[in-house]
Amino acid sequence: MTEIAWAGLRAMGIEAFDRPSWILAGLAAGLLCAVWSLRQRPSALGLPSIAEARRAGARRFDFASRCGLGLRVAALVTLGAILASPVGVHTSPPEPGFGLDLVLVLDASGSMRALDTQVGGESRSRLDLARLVVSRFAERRIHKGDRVALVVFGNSAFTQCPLTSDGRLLAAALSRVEAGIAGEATALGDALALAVKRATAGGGQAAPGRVAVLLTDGRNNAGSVSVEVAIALAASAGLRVHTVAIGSAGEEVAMESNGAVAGRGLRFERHDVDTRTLERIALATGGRFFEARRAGDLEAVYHAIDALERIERPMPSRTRRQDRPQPLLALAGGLLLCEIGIARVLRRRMP
Amino acid sequence: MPETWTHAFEHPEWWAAVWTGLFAAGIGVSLARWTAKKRRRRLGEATIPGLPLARDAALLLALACIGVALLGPRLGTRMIRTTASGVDVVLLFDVSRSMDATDIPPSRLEHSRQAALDLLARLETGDRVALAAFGDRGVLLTPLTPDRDALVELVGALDTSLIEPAGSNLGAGVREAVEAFEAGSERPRIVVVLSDGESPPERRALGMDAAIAADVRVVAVAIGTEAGGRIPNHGLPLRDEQGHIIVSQRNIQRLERLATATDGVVFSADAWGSIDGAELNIAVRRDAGNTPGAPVERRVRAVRVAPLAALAFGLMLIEALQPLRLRIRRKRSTLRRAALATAIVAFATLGLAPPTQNTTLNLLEAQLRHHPGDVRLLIELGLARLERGRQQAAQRAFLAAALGTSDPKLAALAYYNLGVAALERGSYEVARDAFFDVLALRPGDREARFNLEWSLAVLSNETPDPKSSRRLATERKLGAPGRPEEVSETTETGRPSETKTSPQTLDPERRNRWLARIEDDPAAALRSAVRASGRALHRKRIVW
Repeated sequence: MTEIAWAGLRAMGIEAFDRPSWILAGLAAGLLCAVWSLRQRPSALGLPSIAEARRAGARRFDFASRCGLGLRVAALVTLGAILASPVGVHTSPPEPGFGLDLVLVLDASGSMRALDTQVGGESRSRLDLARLVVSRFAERRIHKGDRVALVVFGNSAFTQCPLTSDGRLLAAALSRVEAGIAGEATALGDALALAVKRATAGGGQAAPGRVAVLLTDGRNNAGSVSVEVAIALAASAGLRVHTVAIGSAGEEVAMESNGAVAGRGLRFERHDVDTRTLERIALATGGRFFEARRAGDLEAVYHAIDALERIERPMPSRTRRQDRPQPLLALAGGLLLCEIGIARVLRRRMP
Repeated sequence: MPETWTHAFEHPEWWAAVWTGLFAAGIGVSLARWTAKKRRRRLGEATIPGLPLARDAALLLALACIGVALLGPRLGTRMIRTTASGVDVVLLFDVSRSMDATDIPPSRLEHSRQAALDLLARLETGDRVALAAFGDRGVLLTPLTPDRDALVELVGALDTSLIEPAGSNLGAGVREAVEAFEAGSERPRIVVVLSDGESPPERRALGMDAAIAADVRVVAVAIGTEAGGRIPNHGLPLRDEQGHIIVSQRNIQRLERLATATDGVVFSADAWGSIDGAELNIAVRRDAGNTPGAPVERRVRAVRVAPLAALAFGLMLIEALQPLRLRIRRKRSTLRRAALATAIVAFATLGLAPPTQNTTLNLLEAQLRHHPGDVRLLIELGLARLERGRQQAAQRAFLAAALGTSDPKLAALAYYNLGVAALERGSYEVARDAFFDVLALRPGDREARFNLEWSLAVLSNETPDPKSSRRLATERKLGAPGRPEEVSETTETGRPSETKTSPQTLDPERRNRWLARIEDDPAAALRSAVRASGRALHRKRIVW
């Protein structure tokens, strides 16, 4: 019986009571109420014979009255349990800074408009796919306690979102990334250097906890920082950079025009990703180089990075006590409402 | 529920259900009474008494009490105990045109920028800051971040043309700023409003309800002068539709109302636009605690459920036992009255007794069921068992904690407490081994060294000084050894590349010089955030 009660309480998120003696008070009150009500002689109208009484609707057992009594006793016990201060265990979000500091570097140059990927059977641009996959990856990492920043690049690079553990706002920042937002070219060196700057910001992790994931479909053709300098900066800052090349290699692909939907205003262009440079960046910084030629590959790549950057440390305590009277209050209110409905409204009362 | 009431209740989402329930009960009871009255008339009013109104009223009142308790009324404040890990601050900038006023040259916005930069420089490492701004609408520009450098660059890029259309809607700004705080986070939440407080008559809302509902404290910085100043517009003073020159004045009263309602404070800039940065920092970090990882107490708004539940309980009991009261009076039984009074006093005494140690134990055990390998919880469980005098069980918890962690600091803490528990139990061999383990992990631990020597002395039948030994040997350590960053230093964080080459390396000084040269484009980030701010973010309610 006790086990069943506890199972019910746990289902309501209640793990313990601060003042358990009040439950006894509730039980005692319920018992007193029941004994007293059962000992009471109900009000009655005198009828000349049993047959007459039966015809008038008299019964040996007054179901509504007993049901009302049962509900009253249950409501009193529930209120006793509320007065016993029920508490539950609340799981807080991970303490910021527990995991890695992860900088996601996303190419938003004009070539990311290439319509060579499919999402849900529909032709989508590379950037659409990248946004989707990177967003899922970021959500997973934040859930593990990482902080994630987003750097976007084209002609130059800028910080779309600084290091944060807020998945919703990061997802909102990702959804705002559009092809050409930072220009049409590809400033790979600037982007990598800015990622180093974001990862080494004050309050960030020590070197082993810094990781960047750079996704691009092009080659460095703009910006003020050379790739070599950016690699040196990343290596000296201890930033591990995983690089991801996306897009079909050297083939002519349909491009989505600015603001145009697929199928309207299409033109065909050839873009070539510089895999050699990306490989060099990854090797020099202790990261890995990945290629994603098809839509499904990109998801697999980010899962591989996810597996690669595991944290082997015990999760700090994220639980704390929380008052949980609301489920019991709702139950007590419901019971009392039912009692009023059955014993006061439906049942014909005679004073 | 009326909007002004929402901040008074913790769970306003129950409003519709409570209202419907009370309405239905009221209608039902009234209907039943009306039909009973009709029946009574038919049978003869002289012979049949009416239904007692008091009993129905008592039940309806009890239901109302439960309903109000279900809404979670917020009355007064209470202290909560958390672990200090920094504060969450949102810097909310007023970017309305009035912030261009030159009464404190070069402009009010420039002074609010300086105040913000000064605060950013003073905040501690564990603190997180977000950026928001308001004109005619509020915009959350960044999430909470530890990256001050990024914020410094963004603050520098703010200007009064950022948000279109122009205007001043402080309420919208506060509501948007509150969205930055993470649901369920225990860190103190502060919104620092940097504004002149001026607003058009149709924009009088202050966003108090949103701030109070989210347990946010508003610290306001009033920029500008009472005398006011002109607003430059392409080199000429800005004029209204009638051609009159607009003079913008600081309105500190609105900021005061907002700050006072949220347990905050207002700082007023002097005639030169300066703010006492140290005082502002103290006000912002009021609830943060000094040592990261240490327990800290903080005052939050209290939700009062027990008094209403107790009233409902009493009303239902009285209603059920009303005939008992009449009978007691009729019989005048002193004995029964005394028994009833004794029972009431006994229940009250039992009920108002402070929470027992058993509750803490139960809670910790429940938490461990959720997180079986949580070393800190195991240590806390051990300490709680030790408080209850259950040394053997405490030893088991400490040992499990020591063996379950790869962090030497936590392991040392667990072994130390294991040693203390063993000493209290008189198991000197166990204590000796535990303190040896502590010293292997932390050679400099003086308390462990002393306790080890004490254990060895006892084992070799020597008689050490009992006073000093008790002082140190029974001093248990709490399970809050430090910040997560400290824990991370000793742990593996990933697998390195298999084929690592050695690139050109830079010394830290050269690297920092290079990084200082790397240019971000904060204006692009701000534009992007403002453009997409129409999409609202709705969070779960924040619970304590």
